[in-house]
Amino acid sequence: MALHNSTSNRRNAIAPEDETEQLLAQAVVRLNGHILGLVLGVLAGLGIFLATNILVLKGGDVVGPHLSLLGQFFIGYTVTFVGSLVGLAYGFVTGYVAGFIIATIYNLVVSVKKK
Amino acid sequence: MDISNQVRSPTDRAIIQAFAKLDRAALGFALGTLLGLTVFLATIIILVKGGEPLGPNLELLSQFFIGYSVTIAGAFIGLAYGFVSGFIAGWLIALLRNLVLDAYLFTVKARAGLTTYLDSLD
Amino acid sequence: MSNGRDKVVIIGSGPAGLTAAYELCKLEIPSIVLEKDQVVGGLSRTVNYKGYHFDIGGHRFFTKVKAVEDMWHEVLTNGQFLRRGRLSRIYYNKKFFYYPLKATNALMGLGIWNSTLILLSYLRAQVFPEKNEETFDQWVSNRFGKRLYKIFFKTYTEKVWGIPCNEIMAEWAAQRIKGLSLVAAIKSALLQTRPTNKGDVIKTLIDEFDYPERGPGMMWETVADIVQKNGSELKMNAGVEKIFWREGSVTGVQVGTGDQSEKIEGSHFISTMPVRELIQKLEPAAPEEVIQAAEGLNYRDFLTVALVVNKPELFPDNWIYIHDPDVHVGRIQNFKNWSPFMVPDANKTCLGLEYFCFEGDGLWNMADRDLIELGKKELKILRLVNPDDVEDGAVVRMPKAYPVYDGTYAESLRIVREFLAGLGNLQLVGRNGMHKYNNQDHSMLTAMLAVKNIVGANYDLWMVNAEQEYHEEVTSEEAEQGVDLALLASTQPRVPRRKTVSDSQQG
Repeated sequence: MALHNSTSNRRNAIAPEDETEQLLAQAVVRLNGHILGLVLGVLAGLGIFLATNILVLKGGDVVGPHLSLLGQFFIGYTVTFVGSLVGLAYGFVTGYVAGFIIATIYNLVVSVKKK
Repeated sequence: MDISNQVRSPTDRAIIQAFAKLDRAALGFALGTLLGLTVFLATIIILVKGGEPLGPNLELLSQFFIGYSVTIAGAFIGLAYGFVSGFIAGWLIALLRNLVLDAYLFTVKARAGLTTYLDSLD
Repeated sequence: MSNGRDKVVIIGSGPAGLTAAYELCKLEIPSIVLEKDQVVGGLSRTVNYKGYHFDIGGHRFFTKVKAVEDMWHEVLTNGQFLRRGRLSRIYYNKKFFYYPLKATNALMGLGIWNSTLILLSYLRAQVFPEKNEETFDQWVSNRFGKRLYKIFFKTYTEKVWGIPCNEIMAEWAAQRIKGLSLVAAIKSALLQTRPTNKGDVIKTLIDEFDYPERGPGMMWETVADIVQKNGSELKMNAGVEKIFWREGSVTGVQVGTGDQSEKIEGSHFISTMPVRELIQKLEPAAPEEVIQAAEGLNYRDFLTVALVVNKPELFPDNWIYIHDPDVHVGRIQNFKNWSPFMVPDANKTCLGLEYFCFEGDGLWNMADRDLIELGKKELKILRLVNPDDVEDGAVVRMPKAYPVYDGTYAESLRIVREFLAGLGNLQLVGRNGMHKYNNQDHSMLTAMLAVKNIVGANYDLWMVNAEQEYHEEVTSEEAEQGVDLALLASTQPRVPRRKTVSDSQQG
């Protein structure tokens, strides 16, 4: 009995792992809106919280004259400890919305390009 | 890209998802849209609030966005500038991320390639 | 083939020849092994120089073939085998690089500036690749950048084969370097970051191997003893001078032993001698076309300069790949790290400096003492050993260590094989016997299958395709016999094919 004929039993020349490699080269990231929203929300919220409290701790005659401008957009926000909590909430919501919007628009553009 | 039908192994799927590229134009468009809208809305909100002087701090944007002012027309100029700046930022972020990933994948490929090569000479 | 029980004549006492004798003894079929040298083992011999043992190249006892693994452990007891951890780093630019490469170690070794240039070179290759991918240098540069190609691929390749990389065909690079998929490489790289019990010892494709206490020669000397006690005859210093044949079969061989010659007849013949020589020794002479074809089969030769160094320890590696272009030496073996029994004095070390060359070239023709001096000088250039610590040395030349797949080899071998297929009782096995760059285990397997053919099987030893990369289904019979030939084939070395004029014209 001869050895099996390698040409007659040969599998597809490209093994599965090479197909995976091709997919890797072509794959495009999809962003998850909730995750990106959460990340940016946490970053923004914590950022405002910390920035506010740093200035509160610094003190001075006028505390945070520039940061207080955020109160123009974040109604109720002040450069105080309580204000830092308000800012945390506003920052989180704004960051979350921003992250969600970025991911949504990104995914939409990627889908359109794919077509 | 939906790879779930094409890739059987969960590990392979995870690897593909982890190392997939960020679309530069898409991220640019997304950040540009967000930033443009933010500047636009911020300008409108200040206009609606009113007061004297009108938005002296937001006006400082004109140092970078030449032609911008805290007016209706300025809001649209700010929208345009914001979009362009955001687009560039997003495009660069995606480019940089992809480059860093490429650099990592290059080291992985080089390592594997040299390993199999020298082993094949023994 | 008939189920003959007459004597089998085996030419050569390397792994293939001795394995054939061993298997024949099991079947109680008488055989005679003819060895032209004074020692057994062929390329897998271990040389004993004043108690210092050294090998010709590195011989890890690793195989995916159960039959071969079983034979190794039948011959030597477990106690005679040592389980060794593999460490074989790359030496370049006076620095050691872990093998496989480790990111931080490579970065430190190459330096940040050089690493950046390597990366930029890679990016440039991605943006502006060489459109013509005919040759090895083009193929590798396109994938890794010219800079990395020059550092880790060019010098070593040219040392091993003696062929410029722009004359080696790209397909050779593609077969082996592409073997590990990117996804598998990523998994391996990610797993690499797990701490191991061995500290910095790196996991490679084969990170541990077995090794006989006193080298592969110990294995083959033991096999030689066994076969002689079990019905086989072994003649040393018995070079085959002529091979007699007639239509359809080989009838006998003429062997020169000292001043005398004798004729030895047999019913079957198993040859491990270089194919080129076999054709040249046929009597009557083979057709002219076949002789011409045989002369087109070429070899890469090898010499080892063994140096006894008056130091108990030098470096922890079993061997080092020398990628440095400033020296001729290609690899340096540290035989004490293969087995402590390889040196008689624990305060000393025995190194083997390996030089790839062509028989008759400048290196080959150098006097032994000059080669020893060259070895010492190169060790000094590499900053590995102080020449004053070298006490003694010896040189072993090994002709025809590797068959070369140059432009004409395939056609030459086809003509030779076609002719020899007409000699029904002759089988070619082993590396030089088949002009195939295979490791010890494959050589042994071809011999095992040749013996099976003598007792009625019909294996085509040439059908084991060394170009296969993927595991394929084996027949149920092969599976029962534990023979996974395709799996084995994927572990065998690769030989580059040289670019020819017709390749250039086709491109």
